[in-house]
Amino acid sequence: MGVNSETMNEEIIEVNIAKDFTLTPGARYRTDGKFSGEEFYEDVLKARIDEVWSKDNSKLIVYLDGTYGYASSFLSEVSIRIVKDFIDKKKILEKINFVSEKDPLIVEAIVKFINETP
Amino acid sequence: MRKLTEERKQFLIRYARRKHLHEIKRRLVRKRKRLSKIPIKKIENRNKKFLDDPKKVEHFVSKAPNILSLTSDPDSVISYFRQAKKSLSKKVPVFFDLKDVTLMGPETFTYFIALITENDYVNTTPIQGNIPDDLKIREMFKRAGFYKYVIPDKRFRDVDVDPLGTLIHIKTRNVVEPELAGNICSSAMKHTFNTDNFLDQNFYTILIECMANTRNHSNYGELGEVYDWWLLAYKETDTKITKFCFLDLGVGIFQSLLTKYAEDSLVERLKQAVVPSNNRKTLEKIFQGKRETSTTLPGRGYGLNFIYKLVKEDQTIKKFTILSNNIIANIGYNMVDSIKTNKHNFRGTMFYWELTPKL
Repeated sequence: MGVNSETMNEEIIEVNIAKDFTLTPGARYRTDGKFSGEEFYEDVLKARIDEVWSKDNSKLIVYLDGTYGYASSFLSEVSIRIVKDFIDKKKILEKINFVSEKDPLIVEAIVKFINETP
Repeated sequence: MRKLTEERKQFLIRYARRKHLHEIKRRLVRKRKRLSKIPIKKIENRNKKFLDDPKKVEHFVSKAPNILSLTSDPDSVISYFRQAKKSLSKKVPVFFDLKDVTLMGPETFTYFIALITENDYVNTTPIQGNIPDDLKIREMFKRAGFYKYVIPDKRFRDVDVDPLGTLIHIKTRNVVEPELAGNICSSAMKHTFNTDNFLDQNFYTILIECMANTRNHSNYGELGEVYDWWLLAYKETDTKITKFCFLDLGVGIFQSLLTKYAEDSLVERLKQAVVPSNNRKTLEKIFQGKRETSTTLPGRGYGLNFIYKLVKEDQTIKKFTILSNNIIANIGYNMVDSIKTNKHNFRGTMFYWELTPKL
């Protein structure tokens, strides 16, 4: 799992999808095939978010680079699941940083999915 | 009683639908057998004779036009295969005469194989044929695995491990095959750009979106219970171009949107009866980023728009074509989008593109 690092003020937990999950992300549900958004959220991401959620000075950084690419259904399923379980969108966007230097549009898409989820 | 989660509910709905469709299919097969006028034994003998020597049996010769290309002339290809289908529906054997074809791309080749290996198309009637005289097309037939699919008694495997130059036929409940897509990407990058770096490409996402699209739009409302797609990543040795074709023979994008709308809303159903649907406009809306989906669930209906954005920003993806129902669209980097309406309906969805070396 990701490297934990602590700065003076806040604890940062990192998840690197390429290293911690797969190089080849799939589609939405487990029933769609391997490495789905549902699988990533349930097996990798949820526990990490739980860790940072209740602590005041902690943040989760999700590194998206290094994989072959992401389908819209993968990204939207992860976003929807986060909102469903953690509800507070503002806090979600404060606590979780999605990072992609290669393609910032992916990050934009995730933020859009989070904001669109009722 | 335990409350059903939304996912569980959706899963149960999908399961019930699959079961229901399977039962309808079984009933149809039984009915077809019951109503068959020609004795089965007689049909079997005739089929055997036809496969041994087509001249001995009355059959239909389906002469292909010189240009047999789904990307440049979809109407004539659709009408060509439709004509053959008419004979096959009447249990008349068909001889596909492709001898004089001078233009045929990997996309039409894939479509041809998908059709002649589909039970609904051939209707348990034997088919025979020849291959084009054109040497380049002949090479494609050979390298793309034509003989593996057409030689009787040689059943092909569902997934082929060689991801390039060989037709891959997937018949699986898991419609999305990320590892296979990854292998294909790496091989294509090696062939076209001579690099092992798979990061600098967009077409992995396109492949996954295509596979997911099959689940969303191919078999909806049809009698099939498994999802089928075909993929060919054909490497041209002389040009270094990798030609991709992704195909399913489902109901097509626009038809599935209509079916779903019709099921959900009475107003939409009435509207459909009065105002004919404009698939061209629907696709334009999708390209513009307006969500076109049947479901009210969030995060749905972005797949095609994702593909559109990726293709528009990638200089190495050329001749990107979407063919579905009566629509053919061409999009690409630095080019004006072209969306045309065809005369004939293409049953299913086809994506085609060429990965070209950087200049």
